[in-house]
Amino acid sequence: MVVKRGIGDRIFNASNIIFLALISFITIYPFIYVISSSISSLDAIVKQEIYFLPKGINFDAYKMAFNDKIFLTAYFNTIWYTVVGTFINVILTTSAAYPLSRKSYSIRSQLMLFVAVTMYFSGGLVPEFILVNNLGLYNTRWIMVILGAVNVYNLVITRVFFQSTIPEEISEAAKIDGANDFVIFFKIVLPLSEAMIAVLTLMYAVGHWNEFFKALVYLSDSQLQPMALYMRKLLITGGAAANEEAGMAFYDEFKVLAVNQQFKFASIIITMLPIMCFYPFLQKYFVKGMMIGAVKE
Amino acid sequence: MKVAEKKAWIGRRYIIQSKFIQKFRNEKFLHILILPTIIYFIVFSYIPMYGILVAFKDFSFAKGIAGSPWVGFEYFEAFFRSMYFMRLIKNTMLISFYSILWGMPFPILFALLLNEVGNRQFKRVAQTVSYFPHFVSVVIVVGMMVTFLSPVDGIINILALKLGFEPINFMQESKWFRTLYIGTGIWQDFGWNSILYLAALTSIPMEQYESSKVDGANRFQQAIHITIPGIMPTIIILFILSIGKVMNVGSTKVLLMYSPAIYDVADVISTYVYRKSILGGEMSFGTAVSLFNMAINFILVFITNKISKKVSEVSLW
Repeated sequence: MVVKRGIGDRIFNASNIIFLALISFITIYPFIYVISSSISSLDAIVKQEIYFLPKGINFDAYKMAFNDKIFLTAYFNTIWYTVVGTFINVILTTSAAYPLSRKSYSIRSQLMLFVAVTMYFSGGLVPEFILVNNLGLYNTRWIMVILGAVNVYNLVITRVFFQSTIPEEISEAAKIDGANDFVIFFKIVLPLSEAMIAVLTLMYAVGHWNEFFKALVYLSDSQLQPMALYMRKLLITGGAAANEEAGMAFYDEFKVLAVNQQFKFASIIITMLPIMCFYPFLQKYFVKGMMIGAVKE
Repeated sequence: MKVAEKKAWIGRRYIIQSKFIQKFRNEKFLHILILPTIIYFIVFSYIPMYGILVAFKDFSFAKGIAGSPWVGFEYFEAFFRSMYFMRLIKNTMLISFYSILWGMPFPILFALLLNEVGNRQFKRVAQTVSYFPHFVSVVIVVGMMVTFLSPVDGIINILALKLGFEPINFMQESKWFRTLYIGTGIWQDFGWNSILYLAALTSIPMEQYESSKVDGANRFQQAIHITIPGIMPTIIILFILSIGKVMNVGSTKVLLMYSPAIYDVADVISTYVYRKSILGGEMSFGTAVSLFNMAINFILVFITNKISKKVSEVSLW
């Protein structure tokens, strides 16, 4: 479509590129600022000299974070919830999507209705809260991985994927050869669905990594709380409390502020680290997931 | 004759029935595969639906849902009479309304401009960068917002001070809340939301552009007469679907951003439910408010889904 037609076109192309580059820069700038501030010298922070690139170099804030017991506990908890939660999610979603994708399954339409109803109706926050309390899951690790174990939306797109990539004929043929549905599912369906499993894993894992509200409602024990709650305390509700001791070493008020701020920035980067590392390579899977869902809608 | 027919019919029905039973038995592995998910939905979706009864009872944990006394619509009436009722509805709708108004044009514009870029590498980098904030957690987004806007050492106020402005305590001022909420929302999702428009753009047939070029259309005219009409169905459907969610503002981001000082504009139905029930212990009242909200949401989603189906049928053919 881009055919050089004249001076007007070239001006448009150039200004378009400049404009989009500017937009991209604005989008990414907050992260650059946080990274730069987190590794700059304390002096530069006190003098408020950092706008773009880091000034000086100093990893004290990162050391402080990795020496902070509460920080490490929260980080470990988040990893636990993400790994265990995603594992449960993917197993349940794929194993439920397969029967629902077989047209020959006798109670398929009834089960689809059963599942679809939960998309439009729910009990809401309080009945769920009462249930969780009655089940004795309040303040346990399990609540974070059980609640939301199957996402209906993901279940539906996985079903659509199975329908289109594993035709009925394949499973029927395998059955004639003596395979039962278990064997078909584990030996044929799952190996053929790597792309879908990747998409599911990513979508669920990001959800767990960023989960905040569930933890806010169901985890009051600080030993069980994930990064999201720790970061809220650090960044939003009660800033300095998290590392008062480290700050107290300096009698200069500005230095205390600077140490605190740098600690915040380092914590932000450590929290985002997995997503920042994997994201550029996995972006196409995320987009794929979005597109499968959109086609279904 | 008649008896024979009847017998044959009964026989056929019996065969169908027994075939179904046999088939059902043969499918035991399929049942086993789906069983855990069914149990999950029964426990965590259907049982809480029964729990909605709490809205019509004076619930206490000691008595349980079944044992708590009925109070009818008492809590609904209390909510409708309270000063919060109008304020919550107004806040919820205004946040949604302004989010749609300001939020919709950005992804469309971004997709249109990106579509005009010939350099594939540049395009890919711009996409990668613009999608990224979508994956950052709300806690981090709000945390960065609070840190950057801090009246003491936030970069925004440092710059403002250097330019001769008074520092502003953004997070504590009602008039800034919606701007910050919606502005950061746009920043976080304009790239991600452009994906659907970019997909719609690629489905516009190339011939249309080629024949319009023969007719002497320039790129601006092509954009007006081919590109925008080409993505119009997508725009309309996404718009209608977002209208269905106007009364459904999630609690997380507001909870992280608000404080008593700005409740007058920031408090929405979902945060009010959380505050009343989980923090305040008024389980029945909270359920009543949330049920009222869910009913409205359901009606809106139902209506807008119907409309969008009709529109997409019309726009497809």
